[in-house]
Amino acid sequence: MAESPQHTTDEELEARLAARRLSRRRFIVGGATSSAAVAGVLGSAALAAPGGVDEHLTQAQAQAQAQPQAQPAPSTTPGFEYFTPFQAAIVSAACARIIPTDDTGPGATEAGVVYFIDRQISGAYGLPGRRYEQGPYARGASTQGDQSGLHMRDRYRLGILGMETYAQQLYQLGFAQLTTDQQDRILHDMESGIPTTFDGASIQSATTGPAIGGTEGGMRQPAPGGTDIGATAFFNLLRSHAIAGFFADPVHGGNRDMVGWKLIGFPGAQMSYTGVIAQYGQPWQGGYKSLGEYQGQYLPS
Amino acid sequence: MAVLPKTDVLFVGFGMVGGIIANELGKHTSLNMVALERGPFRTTNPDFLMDHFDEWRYAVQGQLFQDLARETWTFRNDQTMPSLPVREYGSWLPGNGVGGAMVHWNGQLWRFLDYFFEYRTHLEQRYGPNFLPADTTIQDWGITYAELEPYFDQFDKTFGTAGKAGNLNGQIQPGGNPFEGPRSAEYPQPPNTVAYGPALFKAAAEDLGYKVFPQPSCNSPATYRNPDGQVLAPCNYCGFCERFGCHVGAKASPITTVIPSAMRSQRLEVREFANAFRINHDGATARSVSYYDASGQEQEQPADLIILGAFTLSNIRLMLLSQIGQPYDPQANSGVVGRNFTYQVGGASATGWYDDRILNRFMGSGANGYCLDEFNSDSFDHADLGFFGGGNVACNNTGARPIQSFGPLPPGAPTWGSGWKAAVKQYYNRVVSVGMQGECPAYRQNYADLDPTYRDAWGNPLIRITFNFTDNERKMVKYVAEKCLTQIIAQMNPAIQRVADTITNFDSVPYQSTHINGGTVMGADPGTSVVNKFCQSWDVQNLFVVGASNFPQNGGYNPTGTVGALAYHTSDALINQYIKSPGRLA
Repeated sequence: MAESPQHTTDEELEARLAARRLSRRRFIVGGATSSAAVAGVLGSAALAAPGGVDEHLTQAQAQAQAQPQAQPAPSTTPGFEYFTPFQAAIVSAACARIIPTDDTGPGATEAGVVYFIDRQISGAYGLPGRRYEQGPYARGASTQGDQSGLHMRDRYRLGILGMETYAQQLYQLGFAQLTTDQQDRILHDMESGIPTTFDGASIQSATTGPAIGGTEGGMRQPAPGGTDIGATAFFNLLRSHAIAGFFADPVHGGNRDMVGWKLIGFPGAQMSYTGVIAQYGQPWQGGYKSLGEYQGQYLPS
Repeated sequence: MAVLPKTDVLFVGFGMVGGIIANELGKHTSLNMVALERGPFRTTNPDFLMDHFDEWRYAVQGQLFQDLARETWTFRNDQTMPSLPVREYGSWLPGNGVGGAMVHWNGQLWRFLDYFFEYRTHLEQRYGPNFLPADTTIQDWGITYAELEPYFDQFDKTFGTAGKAGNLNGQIQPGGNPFEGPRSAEYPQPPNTVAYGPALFKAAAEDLGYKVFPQPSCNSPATYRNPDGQVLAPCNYCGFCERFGCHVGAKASPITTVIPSAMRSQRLEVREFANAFRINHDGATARSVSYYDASGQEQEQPADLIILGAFTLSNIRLMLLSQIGQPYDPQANSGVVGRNFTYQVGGASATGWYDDRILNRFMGSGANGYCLDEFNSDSFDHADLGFFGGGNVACNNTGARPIQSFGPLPPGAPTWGSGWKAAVKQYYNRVVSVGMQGECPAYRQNYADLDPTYRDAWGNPLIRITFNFTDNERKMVKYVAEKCLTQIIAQMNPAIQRVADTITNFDSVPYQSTHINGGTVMGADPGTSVVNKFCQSWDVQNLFVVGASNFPQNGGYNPTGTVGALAYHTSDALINQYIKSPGRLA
């Protein structure tokens, strides 16, 4: 629910920024490849932390050595257009908890949800897109919807920083390095609005993600509205994008091998159900189809 | 700025209203016509062929919707709140492009009930002059159902509607809606093939004694050739109607019917990406329309006759920007433009989750189900209920695309994690919902005007909506949920049931309906209406304003069919009266 944000004193703000600067140094550690460069910016706390520079470099070297030079990456290997590797790791880890890989089948990881999110926010959707972006900006009632002035890209930027800072506070580790139980705890806390490491004045979300909730389809009941801020808003955004990346057509980069559709039995882009719509109670036998299968037919061979 | 060569007829907005009138004028007159449309001109092939099955692009990102970055609207629940811009797609989804919002509609097609066109008179006669709440401004339309019936029929035949008549020339027909007004003819097409969930609803409601009838539909059940020679293909029940264009041209819309017919006249020029912002006039006669063209340059298009047939919000806004008609003032309760702004009242629904039945929710079409009208409008006695109005109760299988319709999930289901995943796996294809589409009365405090702060991309004020539900609608929702939906879902016997029976304040965030009405209402009295029964401006005689903006209040049905009948009625008046002898029609 929308509540008036509490005023932040200058001291609190400075403390928050200092915490963020500290945690940002740790991010640099995670992404560094040159030990000389790393040494120049390292604090002792970062060096001491598990998963810090030594372990990371060792892993990277091991991977490099294990990778035969002559073997090119498969052409389907996707990269990131917007996310830094640090950001991608956190988003990917969080989505893997929101839609886990478990005994019901593949989850967000297999679906490639992080690639879907990256592709969307690297394009117009990450910038204003079709969103009305003229000011003045003001916090409104929950019935007036999302009034944030932040672009989607910056919501991710700030949200990821907030998650990482909270993970460091609780566990002195980065979010991506935590156990799944620890990650679940952080996501639950975010959903409940507990962490104060998110910039609540800046991240405000009611519908920033796709309007999910499954209330449509013959039903016109408004879902419980609510404009929320900070940690809860970023959790809701992540959740809605994880679900979108799990269920959107694979042409958008997620839902690989249609694993989201196969979980629930949604056949995808089917031309016709004419012969079978009246076969009440009979499971669909026609398999699954992505839009990409049609689109390819139109390219010159 | 350029003043362009004069044309005979100028359309502002080119959706259903413009398409119908242009087609009729093209067939029956020799007039030259220009249409200004703010969006692109899309056609079934190549725009939707093999492309429309994309929930993320079309349903979520809103490829076919109004570009809010350029123009949106502001909203507040009441006059004490600051109005703020609606920055993202939410409660309603106006279209953008030739064919208008009908390009992405579901195709649920209704005629308003016969007495609804004289609603205030009807209610005061039945319940007395003190029955209605003091702040309601509902009024008669200045036209009757009987006057409109031939035009409803013309719409049915041109758009190939499918259904089962319940009242043919006063004779009640089995299998149809016994509450509807008399039809002069049966629907031109039989009902659609209907999916499993609605069939369960039909059986349960009939067990309870209700008169269940097929959802009237503009999803063509078979190949259909309309009187103009346009062909609708048979619907494939692919489940991608609302928010999407149709990939086979089975969904009747202006781009599959009246607009291609109108283009055959060779006297119609459609100008895409033309953003009209002012009707130029001298207080009695309109001279031209000013617009920004695709490159952003201001243009002025003179015309003898101007048809303002854009979406409701644009019709109201252009009248205000053009200073035609007295703007409504809620304090003084005077003025007309922006008055009687209404919406649609949902909020009553019943949902059931089965353990075993596979419902194939992804098979369907926009109008694919069954309905009952025992609780619509004044079908039931309101004398002791403390409210007036009601709604159509329906169960439609419109296609369950999984991003937006993976649920609803049973109460208590986790919102993420393995528990969520297990619930989605179990229930996505085993859930069915029954809902009420409620009527929306007009009130003194609900209105539209120009926003004092926020502007569009060209610097003109946005429209401001001040709107909320009242206790009348809250009681109506609770009553229909308790008296009807609760029994029906119990009779359908799912393992888990839930009934929603409460609405509080109107919320602009969740999608509810794109049925926005009023603001340029029609009527017999210039003191309480903007246009006469022919949709002709009371002030500027060569300006006709047509749309759901003409509704004095909204019924418990989708508005499209009634707008279509008004457009055909206006076409007839133009061809047979106005063009022969321009002036005030009576």
